[in-house]
Amino acid sequence: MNNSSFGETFRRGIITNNPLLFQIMGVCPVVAIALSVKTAAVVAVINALELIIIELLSCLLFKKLKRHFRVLIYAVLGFAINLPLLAAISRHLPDLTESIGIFLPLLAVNSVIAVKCETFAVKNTVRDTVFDSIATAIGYGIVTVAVGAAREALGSGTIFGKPIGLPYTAEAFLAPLGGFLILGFFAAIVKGLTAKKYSEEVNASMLDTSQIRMLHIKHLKQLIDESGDDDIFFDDSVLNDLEPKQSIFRRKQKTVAPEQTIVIPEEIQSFSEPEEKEEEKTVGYQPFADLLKTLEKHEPEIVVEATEPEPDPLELNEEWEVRDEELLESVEETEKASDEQQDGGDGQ
Amino acid sequence: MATDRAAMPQEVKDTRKYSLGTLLMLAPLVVMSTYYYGERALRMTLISVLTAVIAEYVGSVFVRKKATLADLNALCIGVMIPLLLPASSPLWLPLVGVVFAIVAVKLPFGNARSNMFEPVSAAIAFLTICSKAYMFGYPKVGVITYQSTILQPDYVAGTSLASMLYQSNSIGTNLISMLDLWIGSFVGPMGATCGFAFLAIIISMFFSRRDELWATGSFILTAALYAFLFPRVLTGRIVSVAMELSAGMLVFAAIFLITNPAILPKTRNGKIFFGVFAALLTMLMRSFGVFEEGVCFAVLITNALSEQFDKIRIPSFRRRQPEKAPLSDEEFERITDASFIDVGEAPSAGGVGNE
Repeated sequence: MNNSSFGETFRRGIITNNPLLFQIMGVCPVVAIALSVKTAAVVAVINALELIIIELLSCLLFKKLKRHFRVLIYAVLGFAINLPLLAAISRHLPDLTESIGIFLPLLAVNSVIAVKCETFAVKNTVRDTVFDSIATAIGYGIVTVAVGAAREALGSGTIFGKPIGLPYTAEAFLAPLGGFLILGFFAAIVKGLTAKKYSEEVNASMLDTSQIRMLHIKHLKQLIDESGDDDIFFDDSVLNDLEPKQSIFRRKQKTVAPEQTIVIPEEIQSFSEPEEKEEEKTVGYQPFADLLKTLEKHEPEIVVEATEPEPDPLELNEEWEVRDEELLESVEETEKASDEQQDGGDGQ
Repeated sequence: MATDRAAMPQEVKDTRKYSLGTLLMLAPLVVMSTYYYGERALRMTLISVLTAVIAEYVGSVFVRKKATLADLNALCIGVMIPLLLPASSPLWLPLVGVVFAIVAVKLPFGNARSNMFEPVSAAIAFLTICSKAYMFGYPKVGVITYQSTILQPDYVAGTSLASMLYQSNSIGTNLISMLDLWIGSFVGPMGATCGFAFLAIIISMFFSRRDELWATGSFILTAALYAFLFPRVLTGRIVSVAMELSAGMLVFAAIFLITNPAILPKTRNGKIFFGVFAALLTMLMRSFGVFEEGVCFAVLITNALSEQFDKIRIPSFRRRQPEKAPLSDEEFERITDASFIDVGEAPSAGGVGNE
């Protein structure tokens, strides 16, 4: 995350780590009052101001404070920024204040601000913090305005107050349920469009609904194990039906984890190693993953078993050895770095 | 189609069988609605079935899935929704409901086997919120013509049982007999009035869907008990029970909406409590809610809690059999073959086998 370019941070904030679509933070004002483009824009602007200012301040000043105090200070600062803005809105846009109600003041204790400050601003440099806060604010704003526009069009048949001539307008979209529905559909669309390109990032920040159902299955299996047949009236085959086979929210199966022990058939050993790319080097044992991927494409019959005796990948041949030394060094470095970070965090 | 059916996976075949059963059970209701409201009822049903098929096909293209039309679940949704609407509703009302049910409620979670919320009740709830006037503007029985909607001059408004109950009016003052309640000749949703049809469906459920009947039975019994204990009319508790059960979509929901096999709890206790909870919510919403009929909302709320009902355990009062004492060594050796047991010291070979 450190020293990442503005473009990358920007992409994270708007797409893969979007607070509204994937992390489901700060949903309340969007669902409650983003009924038109106008109100949505007001919400987006106020949230952006608060987010940028508070995140910058927390990065500059509050790094050495304890967490409990920091969260309190975020709330106080939020109201300090929010109250004058509210006064200005009530003077210049008196129509809005009635419809906005309690939800605009509530933006002061927005979860986006607290989470972003605690997870990012306190741990990073000023430059990264500014980038991140701007990107998050823009991502939040775009989604808010889009939801507001969709609800205005579907719920009251207008955009910017001008009728667009829809044959049917559904009032339900002006209720909170419409907000949730449209947010959900936007999240699904954005995930569907970006899932291939940034699958790891999207999956990491996504709420996985299939886990809920898997929990249910686990509970039912537990029930079968614990109690006798008298109390329960269903077959085990019910469990097979429950498992989410065609749900679109199922998480993609990951490729073979690098830590797994692998028995390599002789045919594979002659496989030529892919060219080295410094960018793709990760903590895990990358060449194996690449090899397995290519094998899965070309020769589906070969089964890679995860069985007992672990052949030391260092001793296979010379090529592997060279790669491994570099990798080991990088692993040690990252471990050291993470240890230092943890120590520093504990010390605070 | 014949070749397709052979290649279908087993789950799809099961769902198809279940949907065919549901369609059979819905048939008498369609017949009764056509009998009371004529051609218009059939027309609404046809339009909504067509919409369901098209919405399912187009939606599954957007989700990049194979179209799940083969399991016939879309047909069930298409037939059920117009049956719960007034016969005078404009023809686009079932269309909107069906599109919402399939595109917004069913397809996001996959197919019929991975429903999280019952699509039909969600659609009815959506329509109730969006256009309350159309949803509860019921026409008088038999006075419907092709063009009558609320806005047309030949529309004759009736007073539904649910709205009578909402205003604490009894059927005695409105000239409806108990026989009328049984044959369904009173103002209400197009296909959810005929008591005899429902009785026949419940009897058929006893033979084909006994598991689901636990939820259905507990739902209806709880609603009846509530109506008996807290009547909303002054003409007696029995009349209250009869009116509450025949008003609105209560029995229809008990038979078709809460028994969605993907959502229903898996244990018997879970099914019973599922029905009880849904019925209590329904009756409370009728008594204290904003709308005269709240079954759809109650079903949705209960669906969200569905998995929790599996965790309810009733301590059984039956005497449990005492646990058997652990086997002695001799018995253990007699039962098991010593050669398969790998203990540190091997038993003497042949000693056990010769016995």
